[in-house]
Amino acid sequence: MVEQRVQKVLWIFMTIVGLGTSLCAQCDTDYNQSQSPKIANYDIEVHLDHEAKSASCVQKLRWKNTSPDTLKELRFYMYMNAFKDLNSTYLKNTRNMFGQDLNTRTAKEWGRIEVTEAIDANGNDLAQNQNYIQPNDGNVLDETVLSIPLEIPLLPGEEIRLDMKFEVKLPRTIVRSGYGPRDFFLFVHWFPQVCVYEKDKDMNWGWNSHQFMPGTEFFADFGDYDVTINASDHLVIGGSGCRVSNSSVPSKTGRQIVNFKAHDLIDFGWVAYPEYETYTSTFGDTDIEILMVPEHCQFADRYLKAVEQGLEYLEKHVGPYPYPKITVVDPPTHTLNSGFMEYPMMITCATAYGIPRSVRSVESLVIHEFTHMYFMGTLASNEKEEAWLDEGFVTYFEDRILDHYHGEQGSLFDVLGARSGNAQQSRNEYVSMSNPNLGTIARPGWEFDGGFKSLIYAKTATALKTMERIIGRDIMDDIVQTYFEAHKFTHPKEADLRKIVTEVLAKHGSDFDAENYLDQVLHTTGSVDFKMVDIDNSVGTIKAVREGDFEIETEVLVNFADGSSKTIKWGSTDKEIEYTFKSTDIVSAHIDPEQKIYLDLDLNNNSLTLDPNKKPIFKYAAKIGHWFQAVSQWTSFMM
Amino acid sequence: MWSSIIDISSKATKQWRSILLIYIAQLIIGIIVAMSAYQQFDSAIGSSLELDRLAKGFDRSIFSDMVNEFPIIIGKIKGRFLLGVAFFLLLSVFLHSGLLGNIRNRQYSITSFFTNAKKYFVKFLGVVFISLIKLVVTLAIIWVPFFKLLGNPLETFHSEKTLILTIVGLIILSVLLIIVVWLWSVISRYQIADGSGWVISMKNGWRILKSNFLKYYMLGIILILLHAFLTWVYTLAVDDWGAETWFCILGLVLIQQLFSIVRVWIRAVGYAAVDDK
Repeated sequence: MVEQRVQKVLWIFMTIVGLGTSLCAQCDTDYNQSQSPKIANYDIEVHLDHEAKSASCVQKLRWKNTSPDTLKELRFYMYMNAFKDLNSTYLKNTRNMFGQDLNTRTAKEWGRIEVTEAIDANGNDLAQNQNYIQPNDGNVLDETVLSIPLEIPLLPGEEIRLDMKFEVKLPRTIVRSGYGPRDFFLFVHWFPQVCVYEKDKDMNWGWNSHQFMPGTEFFADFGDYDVTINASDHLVIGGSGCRVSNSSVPSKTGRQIVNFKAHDLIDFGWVAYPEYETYTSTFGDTDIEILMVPEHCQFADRYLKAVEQGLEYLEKHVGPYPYPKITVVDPPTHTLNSGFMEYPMMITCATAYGIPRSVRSVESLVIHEFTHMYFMGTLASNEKEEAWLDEGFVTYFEDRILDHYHGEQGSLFDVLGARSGNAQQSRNEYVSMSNPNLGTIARPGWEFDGGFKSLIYAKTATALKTMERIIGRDIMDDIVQTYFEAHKFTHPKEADLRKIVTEVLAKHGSDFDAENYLDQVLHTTGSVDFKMVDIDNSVGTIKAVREGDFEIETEVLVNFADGSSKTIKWGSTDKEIEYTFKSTDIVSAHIDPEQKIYLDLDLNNNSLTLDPNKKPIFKYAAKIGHWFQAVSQWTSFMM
Repeated sequence: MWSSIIDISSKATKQWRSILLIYIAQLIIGIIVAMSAYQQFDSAIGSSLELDRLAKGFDRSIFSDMVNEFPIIIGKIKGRFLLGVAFFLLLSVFLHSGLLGNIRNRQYSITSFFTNAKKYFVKFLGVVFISLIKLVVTLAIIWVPFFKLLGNPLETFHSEKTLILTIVGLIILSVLLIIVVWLWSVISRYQIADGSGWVISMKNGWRILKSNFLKYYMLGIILILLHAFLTWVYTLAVDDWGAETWFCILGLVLIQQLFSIVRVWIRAVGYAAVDDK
C-alpha cells in the first residue's frame, strides 16, 4: 500500500517535472526579431515522399533589393544539383568519396532540384526563362546556380515576391545532404536559395553567386523562415528554428505536419529518421534538443554538457547567443557522411559506440559545431571566399573551451598516461604538415589543392592563440566581443576584422603590430622556427637563428651560474643573433621562454642548457624498456 | 581449492632461480631497447629546457615536435623494440624448455635448468612450431570469413555498435580458443619431457586435455585474467606517475621490475598447474 502511494507520488512528481521541462523546452519564436536586415525570407511547404526520397515543395519568397542597383534577374543556389551526376563541378574530378565508388551508383541514387514554377506579383511565370549559369568555371554541365530573369526590373529598396514550386530529390548521401538506409533523411542546401547581392572587395555591387565548388561551403542572406513539413508519421523530425506545431493529419493518412519558424537565419536544414530518440534541456534562455540514434544514447549527456559548456563560455567571451534554440543531430553510422556540419540553429555531429569519456572527440566536435552558430550563423562571413574567418575562429574557440573545461594538457584525450590538449592538437596539425609553407590562408576554398584543414582551421587557430599570448587574453576577448557586436548579421570580411583589431589595440595602448602580423599570417606562406644554436662559455656568447620568413619579435632569457638572468630583445627582422656577455658562466638560453609564439614549428629547439635535466629521458626510456618486457612476455606465451 | 592454489604457487615459487634467470634475460634485452630509446631522445632533445616541462608529466607538444623534427626516431625505437621481441621469442623456447623441464623433473638448480633447456630445446621447438600453425589456422578460421563478409562496414552494418560488439565477441572467442592451443602445447611438451615422441606427445596431450578440460581451461582463463588485471593495475597506478626526482624514478623502475618478475612467475604458475605428474 505504502509502496503504491510512494509510486503515485513519484509519478505525479515526475509528471510535473516532465511537464515543466517540456514547457521550458518550448522554443520561443518571439525572440528579438529585428536583429538582421531580413533580405531573403522563405515560407516553404514540403510534402515528403519518403519512398521516392523526394519532396514536392511550394516556396513563397520575399527578397529585398538593398543595393543601389536595379536588378533584372535573381540568382539562386541549386546545390542539390551538385549530386545530379559526375558532371557537376563539385564531383567532376571525384570518383570516390568517403569510401564510396561514385561510378557504380544507380540512377535512383543521384539527387537533383528543379524549379517548376516562379510566379511574380503580376502573374508571370518567370520559371519559363530560367537558365543555369556557371560564373566560376564555365562548366555548362554544372547546374548549381540558376538565373531567373525578371519581367519587371527590381528597383533599389523594392521587395519582390515569388510564388515558386520546386521538386527536390535527395541523393544517397555523398556528403551532407541526402538519404540513408532505414529512412534517414537530411535536407540541407535543399531549396532554391537566393544568392547574395553585395559589394565586392572593390566596393562594386554584384551577385556573389558561386557554383558549388569543391572545398567550399555556404554563403547566404539573413531572413525569416516558416517551413511546414508534411511527412509520414513514422519519422521523427528536427530542424533549424522552433517547432511551433506538430500534428497528425486528421484524415488518419499516416502522415504528420510539422511547422518550424525562425528569424534571422542564413539557411534552414532539417532531418528525419524514425529511430531518433529526443533529449531536451534548457540552459539559460536557450532550449537544447538532441536527436540521438538509440545505440548512441549513452552519449546524450556528453552532447548536452558540451553544448552547455559551449554556450556558457561563448556567451561570456564572445556575446549572447542570438537564437532561442539549438538542435543537435547525431547521424546514424550508416550515414556518417551527413555529420560533422553546421547549419543555423542545427548542427550534425558524430560519435561511435564505446568511445570512453577520457577521449573527448565527442565534446570537441559538438563544441566546434556549436561555435559555428556564432561565426558561421551570426557573423556569417563568406565561407567560400574567406573560410578562415569562420573555421579559424571556431577552431580557436574550440581549443579554448575544451582546454578551459578539461585542462590544457589532456582536454582532447587522456588515456593510459598519454594525453593531448585540444590546442596542442590544432598546433600539431599545422606544424606537422609536410610543407607548412604550402600556401596562404586568405584565399577561396576552391583554390586549395591540399592542406585546407591544416591551414584554414589549424594554422589560423594557432596564429590567433599566438596573438592572444602576445597581447593578452583580455584584449583578445575585447577584440572578439567588439567584432561580434559590431558585425553580427552583416557578413563581415577580413578588412572589417582588421579595423576592429587596430581600434581595440589602440584603445588598450598595445604596441603590437597587428597589421604586419595578420598580413604574414593570412597573405604569406611564411613560417617561423626559432633555434638556439650555441652557448660558448669560452667567450660568453650565445648564438641563435630564426628559420623561415615569418618575421616576429621575441626575447631570449639567458641564465647564469650565479642565479642571475638577463633578457635580450630580438627584433622581428633579425634572422640571427649573436650576443656576448661579460660573464662566461652561462647555464642556459631560452628563446621565447613563455612560449608566446605558438606558431613556432619546433618549440624544443628554442632552448639550450649546459645543465640538462636528464631525468625525464631516463624515465621514458625505462617505460619503453618495461613495456618491452611486458610485450615480450605476452607474445612469447606459445614459446 | 585454496590448498591446490597454494600448492601450485609454491611449486612455481620453488623455481625462483629459473624465474629469475628468464627475468634477467628479458631485462637485458629490455635494457638494450631502453638504452636505444634513451640515446634517441637524448640526441633529439637532450639539451633542451623543455625537459623541465616533461619532468612534470607527459607533454604531447614535446613529443610531437620531437617526432616532427626527427621522424627517424620513432622508426629506430620501434625497430629495436620489434627486433628485441623477435629475439626474445626465439630465446623463450630455450628458456621455457629449461623451466618446463625443471618443473616436470622436480629439479630446482640453474645447472639442471640449462641441462633441460639443452635436452628439450629442439623437440620443444617442433611442438612450438606445430602449435603456432594451429594458432594461425584457428585465428584464420575466425577472422578471414569476418573480413570477407565485412565489405564496407558502414553499409554492411546498420550500426557500428553491431560491428564493435562483433569484433569484441570475435576477440573473446579468439582468446578462448588460443587458451586451448596453449594448454595443448604445454601438456604435449610435458609428454615429450616424459620421453614420448612428437606425434604420441601431441596425441596424448590432446587426450589429457580433453579428460581434464574444465580444470585446465579454468586455469587458462584465470591466468589471462590475472595478466589483464596486472596491466590494468600498472597503468592505473604507475603509468601516469610524474616521477620528477631520481628517488621517485628509482621507485618507478623498481615497481616496473616487480611487475615484470610477477609476469614471469605467473607463467611458471601456469606450467606448474598443468603439471599433473
